Amino acid sequence: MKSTPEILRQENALAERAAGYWLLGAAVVALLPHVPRLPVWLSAVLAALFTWRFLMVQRAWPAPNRWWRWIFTALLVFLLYRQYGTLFGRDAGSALLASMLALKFLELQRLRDYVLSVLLVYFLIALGFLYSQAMWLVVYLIAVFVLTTATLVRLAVPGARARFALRLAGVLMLQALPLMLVMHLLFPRLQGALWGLPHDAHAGLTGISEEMYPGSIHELSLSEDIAFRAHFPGAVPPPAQRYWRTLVLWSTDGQRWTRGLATHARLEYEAQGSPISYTLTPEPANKPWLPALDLPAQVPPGTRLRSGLVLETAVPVRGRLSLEMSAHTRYRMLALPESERRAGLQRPELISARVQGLAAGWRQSARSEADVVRAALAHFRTEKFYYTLEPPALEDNPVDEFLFETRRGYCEHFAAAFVTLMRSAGIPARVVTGYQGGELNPSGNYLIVRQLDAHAWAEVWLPDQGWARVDPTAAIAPERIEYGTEGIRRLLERGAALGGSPSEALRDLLALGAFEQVRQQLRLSWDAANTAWQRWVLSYDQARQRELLAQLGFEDVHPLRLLGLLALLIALVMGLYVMLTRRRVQRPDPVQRAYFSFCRKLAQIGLVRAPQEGALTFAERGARQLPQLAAGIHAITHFYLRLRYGDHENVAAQREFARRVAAFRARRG
Amino acid sequence: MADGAEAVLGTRQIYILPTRHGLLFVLVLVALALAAVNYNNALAYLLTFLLASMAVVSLLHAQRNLLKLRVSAAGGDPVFAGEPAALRVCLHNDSGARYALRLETKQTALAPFDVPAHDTRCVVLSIPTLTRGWLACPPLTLASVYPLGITRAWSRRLSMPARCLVYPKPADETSWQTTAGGTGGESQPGVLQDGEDFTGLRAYQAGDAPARISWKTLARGQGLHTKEFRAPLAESVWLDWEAFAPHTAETRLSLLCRATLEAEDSGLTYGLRLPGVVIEPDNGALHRHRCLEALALHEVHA
Repeated sequence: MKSTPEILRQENALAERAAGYWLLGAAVVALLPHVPRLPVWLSAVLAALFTWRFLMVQRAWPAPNRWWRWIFTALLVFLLYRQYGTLFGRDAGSALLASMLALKFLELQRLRDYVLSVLLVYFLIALGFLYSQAMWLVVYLIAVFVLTTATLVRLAVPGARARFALRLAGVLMLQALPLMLVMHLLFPRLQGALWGLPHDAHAGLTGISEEMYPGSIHELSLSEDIAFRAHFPGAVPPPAQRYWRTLVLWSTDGQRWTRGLATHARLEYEAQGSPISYTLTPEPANKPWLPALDLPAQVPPGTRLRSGLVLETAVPVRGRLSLEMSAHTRYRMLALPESERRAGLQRPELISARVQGLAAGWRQSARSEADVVRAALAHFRTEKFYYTLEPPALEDNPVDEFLFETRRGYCEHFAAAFVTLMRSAGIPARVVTGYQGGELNPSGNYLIVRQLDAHAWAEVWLPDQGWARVDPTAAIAPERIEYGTEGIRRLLERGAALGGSPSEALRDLLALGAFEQVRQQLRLSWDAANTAWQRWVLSYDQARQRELLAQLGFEDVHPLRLLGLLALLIALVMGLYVMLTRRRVQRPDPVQRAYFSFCRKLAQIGLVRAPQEGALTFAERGARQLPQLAAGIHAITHFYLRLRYGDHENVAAQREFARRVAAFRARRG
Repeated sequence: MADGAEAVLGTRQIYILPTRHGLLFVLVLVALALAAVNYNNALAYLLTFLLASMAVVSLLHAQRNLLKLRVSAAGGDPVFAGEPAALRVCLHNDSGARYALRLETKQTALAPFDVPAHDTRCVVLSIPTLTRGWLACPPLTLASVYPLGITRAWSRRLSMPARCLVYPKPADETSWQTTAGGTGGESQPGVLQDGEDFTGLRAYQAGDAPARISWKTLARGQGLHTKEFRAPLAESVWLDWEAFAPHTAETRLSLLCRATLEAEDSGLTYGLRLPGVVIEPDNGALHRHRCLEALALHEVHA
C-alpha cells in the first residue's frame, strides 16, 4: 500500500481514536514502578513528554517535526550515557527503553507505530521484574498487562468498547494461564547467563558478613528479613538442634574475628544415626557461603566444602536457588589436622593478663579439657553475666572489658570471650557464626530463618569427641535457644529474668494476645504463600525441573524431547479449549428457515426486510411495492404466522410451508 | 436464488497466519526470552510464556470468529456497462457475536464491521463493470485480524453463484445523433415507424420528449408544438438489428440500447429484432428490461 500523507493521516486518526489514551495510560502505569529508581531529571523529562503526548491527543497539539525529534533523541541518549556510563544493562537499559517509548509517542503515525509501542510496554513490564519479584508487584503488573493487551485489542477491533476490550484481554490472559504453566514447568531451562551480567544486577543485600566483631551480629538482630527457608520432608529438628553453621572464624586480633584458615576440606568424620534431609532455599545475599544444618552429610552439586566443614557455592547466591541438603547432628571426629591445631590455638596479641590468668586457673584445677569448658560456663553463670539485646559499647580490648567490667553482652561477646579463654587454656577453639533457631510454619512444614536469628557460638576440640559445639549463650540464657531472638525480646520487654525462671512462668509471659495471634497467623500464611511462590516460581530452575520430571516418571529427558512433550501438552490444552468453546450454532427452526429463505428471495429483487420489521408489516410493504406478487406474499406470510403462533406441532403443514416457499418465484414485474 | 447460494465457513475453509504486527510480536518475545534467560529471572520467563500462550490462544479466537458463519450474496439491480454494479453480501450469524470482519475481493477491501449474535449484516460490494452480460460475483474472502491484530484469519475464496446483469453501454449522444440522422428525422434508421399514426399537434408542455417536438412548425415560426401520435398495438416501432448494418456488433447493441431507452422515454410502443430473438412491441418497465436483457445477453457470432 502506498503511504501518501493523506492515508497516513487517516490511519493515525483511526488508531489515535481507538487507542490514543489507552496506550498513554498503559505506558504510564507500566512505568510507575520504575520511577523511584530513575534519576529525578529523567522522571521530569518523561513526565513532560507524556504530557505533550496527552495534549496531542486531547488538544490536537502538533508533534515536533523530524529535526526536533532527532535533537531530543540525541540529547536524551547523551544525558543517559552521562548518567549511567553505559546504555546497556538493567538500569541504563530500562531508562533508555522508557525514554525511547516516550519519544516514540511524539511520532506515532502508522498503526505499526502504535503496535510497536504497545509491545515496548510489555517489555517495560518485564524490566520491572528484574528489580523486584514481590507478589504485590506481580498483582499490579498483571493489571498493567491486561490494560496493555486491551490496548492491542482496541487497535485490532475498530470501535471496540472499553469494557469489551478489557474483558477480552482478561479472557485471553486467563485462557493463556494453563498454557503458560505448562511452558513454565516444561520449557527447557538453561543454567547460567548467556552473557556476563552487568554489575548492577545485585546490590544492597544483607546477610552474615565475613567478619565478626562486637556488634556485628547484633546489627542483624532487628532485621526481620528472611535469611533462608528449610523444608523438611520428615520431622523438623527441635530448637536445640537448629544450629545453622555458616562461617568458621579462626583468626583474631583481639577485636575482630576473620576466617583465616579458609582452605578446602574433605568430608571426614564419623557419623551416628541416619542423616536428616531437607531443602534449603536461601534468599539472595550476594555471598557465597551457605547456612547448613550442623554438619553436612554430603556436598550438594554446585557447592564446595571449606575448612571447618562449612559449605559455599561456586558463585555468590544472587538469584533464587534451591538445594537438596542432608545433615548429621551426632558425629565424632578422630584426628586434628596440624593446621587446624595451630589456627585453633592462635592467641591474639591483644590479650590482657587478667584473661590469661583466669584461663590458667581453670586449666590447673581441671583434669580434662571438658572440665575447663565446664568451669568457663559455670563462671558465666555464677559471676552475674547477662544476656542482653542492648549490649554496652566496648573500647580497645573488648574481651577483657566484657569479662571483667560490663559482663553484659550479645552472643558474639560470649562466643569471642569463650574462645579466647579456651585458647589461653591451651584448648583448640574457634568461633562459628550462622543462625540458630527458626520459626516453624505449620502450614508448610518448613522453617523460616530470619536475619535476626543470626548467632555466634564456639567449637572446641575435645580429644574423645573432636570439634564439639559449646554455646555460651545457651548457658546464660537457655531461652534464646528455646524461644529464639523474638521470644527473648518479648521476655525482656515483660521483665522476665533469663536463665532460671520456671518454664511455666516463661510460657505465660510469652503467650500472645488475641490480636498478636491473628497477626502471627496471617504472617505465617502469607509466608507460606510466598514460600510456595518462591519454591515453584522464582527458584524454579534446571534442577527442580529435573526433579519434577523424575517424579512424573521421566528420567534424564533431552531438551528436544522436552520441547516435544511441551508441544504435545499445548496441543492437548488447545484441543480441550476447542471442545469447550465449540460454536453452538442455533439455526432457526424449519418454519423460520423457510420464511428467511422467502425473505431472501424478496431481498434479491430489492425488497429487503428491515431487522425490526414484523412479518405482517413487511408483507404489506411488499404488496405495495410489488403488486404483482401481493397474493403470493400474503399467502405465505399468513401461512407462516399461523404455523408460528398457532399450529406448532403440525409437521405436515411445516413441510407444506417449505414447499410453497420453494415454489414461490420472486420476479419483478 | 435458493439456499445453494450460501457458503458456510467450516474449519477447512479457514486459514490463519501471523500478520506483520505478529512478526513484530515474535521479535519482542525473543528479546524477552533472551533477557529472561540472561538474568535468570523467573517472572520475566513467566511473562514471556504468558505472551506466547496468549498468542496461541488468540489463534483459537481468530478461527472461532469466522467459524460457522454463513455467507450469501445476491446481485443487485441491473446496471449499464461502465456503471458500478452493486452486489449485496450478507453474513448470517447463528451464534455469538463476530468482530472486525473484513470482506475482500482481489481488488477491494471493505472497512471492517461486526455481526452481532444471531443476526445478519449485509454489505454492498460495488464492482466496476466494463462489458455487458452477466457479471459474476468475484471470489470473496472474509478476513479478520481479531482479537489482537497479530494474526489474520481468512476464509478460502468463496465463489458465490450471485450475478448481476449488465446492459450494454448506451451509445453516447454524438454517435446516436449522427447515426439517427439528426434531430426531427421522422424516419431514423433502425426505428421503423411501422404504421405509426400522426394525429396532430398540441401546444408544448414542459416534460415533453424532445423527439416529439415538431421542429417544422417551430422553423415556420409558429411556436413550440408537440406531435401527438396514436399508436395502436399493431402499429409500433421496431428496433431492428439489421438497420444498423454498417456498424460492428457491439456498437449496434450499444445503439439499440440507446434506441430502447429513447423509445421507452418517448412513450412509444416498440419491439426488438435481434438475430434469433424477436420481442413483440410493447412498453413499460418490464418490457424495457426484457429488451435490454436480450441486448445484454445477445451472443455475437463472428
